[in-house]
Amino acid sequence: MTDDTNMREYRIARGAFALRLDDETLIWNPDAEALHRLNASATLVWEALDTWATADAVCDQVTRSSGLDASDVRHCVEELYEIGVVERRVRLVDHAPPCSSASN
Amino acid sequence: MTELQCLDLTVKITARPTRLGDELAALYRGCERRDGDTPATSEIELQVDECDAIFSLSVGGAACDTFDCVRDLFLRASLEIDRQCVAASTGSHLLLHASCVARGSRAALVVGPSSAGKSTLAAALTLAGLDYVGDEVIGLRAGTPYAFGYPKPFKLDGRARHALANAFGRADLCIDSHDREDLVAPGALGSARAAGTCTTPALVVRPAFANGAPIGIEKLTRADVAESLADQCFNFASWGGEGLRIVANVARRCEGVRLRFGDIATAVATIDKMLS
Repeated sequence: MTDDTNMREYRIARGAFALRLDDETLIWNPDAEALHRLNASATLVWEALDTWATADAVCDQVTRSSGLDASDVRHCVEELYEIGVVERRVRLVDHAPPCSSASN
Repeated sequence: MTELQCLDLTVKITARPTRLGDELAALYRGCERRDGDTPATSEIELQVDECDAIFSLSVGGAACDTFDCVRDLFLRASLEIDRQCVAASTGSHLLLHASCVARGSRAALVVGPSSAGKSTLAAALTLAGLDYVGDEVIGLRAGTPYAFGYPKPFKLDGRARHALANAFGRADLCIDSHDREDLVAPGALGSARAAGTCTTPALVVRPAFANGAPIGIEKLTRADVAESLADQCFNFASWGGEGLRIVANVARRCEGVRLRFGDIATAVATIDKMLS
């Protein structure tokens, strides 16, 4: 079994409807029919998820611009995924075929 | 026969004897239907068996309930009108469980869960000279800054009436029982805007009554306001993202406060000042 944590990518889920009000964000999840509210820190994480990105990449982006703690950012990404407003995929890595030296 | 307009609901009230209908119509003055060209969408019938003093309510021709006093009949009829209003207006309005009063061009939406004191506060503000817009069901529409209500009678219990009587020197509002609920015509307290009048919210108040507590005002963020409105919608789920856009637009235009109070007169003065 391999750990695919570093190959997971996250993105705002299709269908999630978000509106920013000052530094907070309200998100409507139509699948769960639930309204969620993000504080200022979570809003920064949310906005870093507008395209597919690994948790590491989101951490880099958010911690660089805000000074938030990396573990908090990572936790926030997972929480957004848990409540269904962020989707996740495992990045497919193209492995180059092993070098085959012709030794005829 | 009376016809009422409550947002998109048009309801025909028939009564035997007619005095019952007249009494209910007096409570709903301001909600009279102005455009009577099309048939009413709903029908409510009030009836009394004079011999047995049994009051009965029918909705759409089907017997609904019986009561032993006219007060309970009217309370139930009022609840039925609200219920049908929500059903008839859900596709056209985002429907808030709120009260609304206005001073000039600025209105206050009072939102909160049941028993938060919305009706009492709206009644008090009406007694203080603000215009009553509506209670229980307030409609918001996409693309407009307006709130829509209908000046239905206030449903107040004896405790609320006692507090209003004390605060405004209106001994006539007192009734003997603290727990008994009753309908009070808006006209008995002050002025009301006719059903369907456009009113622009400028203030959102979340009341929290605590007996004897000093006045406490906590400013709400725009997200607080939008979330409070969404929480108190009858039909937010069916509007989804569009509903969120509507409440966010109200939140962007309004000031929002959580108002803790133990004295209704002080709460009224505070809200009135914020609206002025």
